[in-house]
Amino acid sequence: MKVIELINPSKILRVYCYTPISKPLNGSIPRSNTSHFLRLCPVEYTYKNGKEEKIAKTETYLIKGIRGAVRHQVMKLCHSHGLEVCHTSDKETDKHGNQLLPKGFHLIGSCKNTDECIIHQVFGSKRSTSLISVYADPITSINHATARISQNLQNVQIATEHRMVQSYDGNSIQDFGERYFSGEFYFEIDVTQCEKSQLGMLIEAIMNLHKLGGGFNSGYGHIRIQKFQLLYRSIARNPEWDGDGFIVKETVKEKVRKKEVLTSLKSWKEYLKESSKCN
Amino acid sequence: MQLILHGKFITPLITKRTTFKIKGCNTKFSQPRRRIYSKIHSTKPMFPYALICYLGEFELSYSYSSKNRANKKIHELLRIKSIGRYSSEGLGKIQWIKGELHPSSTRSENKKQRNSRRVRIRKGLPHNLPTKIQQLIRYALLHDFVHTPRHKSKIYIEPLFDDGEFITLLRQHHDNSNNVLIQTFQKYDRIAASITRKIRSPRTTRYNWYSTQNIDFIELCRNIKEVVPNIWKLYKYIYESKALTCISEALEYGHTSLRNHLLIIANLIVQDFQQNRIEVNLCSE
Repeated sequence: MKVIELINPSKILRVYCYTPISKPLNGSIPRSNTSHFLRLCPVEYTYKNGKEEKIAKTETYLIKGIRGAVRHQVMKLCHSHGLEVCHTSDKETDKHGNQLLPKGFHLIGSCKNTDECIIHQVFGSKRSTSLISVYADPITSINHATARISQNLQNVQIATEHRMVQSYDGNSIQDFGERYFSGEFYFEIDVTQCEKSQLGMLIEAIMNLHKLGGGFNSGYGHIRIQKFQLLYRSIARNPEWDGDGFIVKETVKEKVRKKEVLTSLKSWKEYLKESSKCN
Repeated sequence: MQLILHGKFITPLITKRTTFKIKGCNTKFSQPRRRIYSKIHSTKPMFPYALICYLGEFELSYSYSSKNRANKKIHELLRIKSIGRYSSEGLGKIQWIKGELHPSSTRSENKKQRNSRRVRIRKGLPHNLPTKIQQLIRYALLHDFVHTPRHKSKIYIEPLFDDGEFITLLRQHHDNSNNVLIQTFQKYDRIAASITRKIRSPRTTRYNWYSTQNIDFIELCRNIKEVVPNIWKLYKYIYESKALTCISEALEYGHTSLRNHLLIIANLIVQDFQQNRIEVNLCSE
């Protein structure tokens, strides 16, 4: 039967990182005092027990908040270069009169109709779509060394940290738990629609990325960037016909692009020069 | 002929319902897993957003006339990577699994008739209604426009119908009667009242809390009198009437509307008739 390539090639920025302990949590489950990750569907996998093959299930979780972390890093980067860009807040002050908008930023989306800033172009706002999309493969914790999984999963250490707020005579009065993960992981940014200067800005921000999830001041959520790649990825979803129905088979081809990283960093520097001249 | 595509949401899709549409095709989750996605604004002192979302396997159905159309639709659908809100944060990611092509006859045989108790308010009444059911619906739609020992007409004025016997029956709709018509009506009236009367909020006039302008009751009464002989026209008039939405069904419950009350009774009767639940005595009498 005819094989059809369905999806156009996309440009992916893949970032490999390491975290000793990180807590990008979703919230607590009802009737529980523990904050959890966003739980996804359980996945089946096979492993070898001697000569015998066994099937087991594992829980998978989503790493939240990567896009927010990248955005805040980009904001910091632009601010350090003297660019006035969009802040995440849409209000200047709160109801008590406290200032929400720091100096060197403008309200989110206020530049849309006049002189659109680079952050608004890339990340968008309420009624303008973002150029990029961030995604990380689900994480799981599998102890079997011989495990074979059909889906794309990232194996990390996942556990719960029990903490105490108040104690009396050695016994806890108030306690709570927080799930954390630790280990090497990767995430991907789809930059197909980005221009070179925008891509350069994202690359420079990612090289300085050091924060993910809550509790940064207490020592949690520190990230070390190990490696990043710019990939050209083409996905083909082939409906293989079999009688009345068909099975969708996915094949992925990837090519690493080295030169484009350097050219995009150059164009980002040129963009900075031009904007400094204008100011 | 029907195309059925099976897929899976790897990351949750933000939706309140388990049935939705992808490119105009009806889709439903086969085994939905409910999650709550929270979103924090670190720069603002505010509570996090909590959004209901679902994930898991789903089934998409698309009816087609030719194989070319089916092929085009397969191409269009298999191109999709993710759908829904916050797809730039990695939500709503789709994995397609397999597809099936069903000839229409086998699919329609397998299709089950839904007999849900949920009331659906129709735009118009169905055409194939027996005379007894028509009479019951007419009785239900007009019962609040007459003076009774318990209350006056809910539009203050009583429209004068030609049928004298019917008016006397309407005036007895609160009484203990042996008449099957009144008994069946009372059952539906109570169900409809229990559906609409939720929060007690007393009023001194017939205007409910949603009313903004004065109603010309004389004109309203005249209009109703004109459409009384034809129940389809009467139903349509009540359905489209803005004045009746501003009149409360009960003085104790100021948030209700007379329009909704009347339409719910009519639709309960139609629904029970279509699902063969209505009492046979009424039809046979």
